[in-house]
Amino acid sequence: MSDNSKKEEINEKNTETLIEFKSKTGKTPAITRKEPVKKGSEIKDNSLSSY
Amino acid sequence: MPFVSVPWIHTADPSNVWPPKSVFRPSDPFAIVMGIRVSNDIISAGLRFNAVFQMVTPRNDPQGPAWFFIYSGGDSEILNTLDWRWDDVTFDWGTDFAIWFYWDHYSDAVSQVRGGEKDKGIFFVRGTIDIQGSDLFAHSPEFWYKVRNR
Repeated sequence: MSDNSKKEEINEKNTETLIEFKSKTGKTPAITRKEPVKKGSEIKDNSLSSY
Repeated sequence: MPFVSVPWIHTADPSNVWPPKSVFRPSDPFAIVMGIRVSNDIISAGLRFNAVFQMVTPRNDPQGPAWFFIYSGGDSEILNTLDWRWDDVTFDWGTDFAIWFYWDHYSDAVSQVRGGEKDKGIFFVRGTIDIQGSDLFAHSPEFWYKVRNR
């Protein structure tokens, strides 16, 4: 790969990054997060063989 | 002497939360499981605890594929952690127990995340226990996992 082609590759990646960064300032509705299910359990003697 | 500790935390398949699982696809079921040990006197005293599970991205460079969050007003912000709380919990499972949060899909857990690493990359989970009305608290070690979207 020549030095020029290396520069082009780097410039292309930088451009992609800048576009993504600019998109973060766009006006987009907030996204509701999905809440998890919560559970608990006593640990039996054979539950955790790896600890 | 009253004590509480969080000796381990791991990610897992919710169908069997005991073996750790450290690689997920976005469509995979996903659980975060935290092991807790507590002395009997804390249980006898009727104390309660607040638990926090955190999913953490260690990469926060805004010029990379960092996680970010969009507010309804249009502002956005880099996101370091996703925090999941379980407050005012009673000690119902003895002195050596686990609590866990799970989603049907990993992608559900990151549904509000934006950025190139929304559903791919290497991340970790950690957690804390705060016993209400006391000086007692504990934190877990880190447990690292990978998400592949192809």
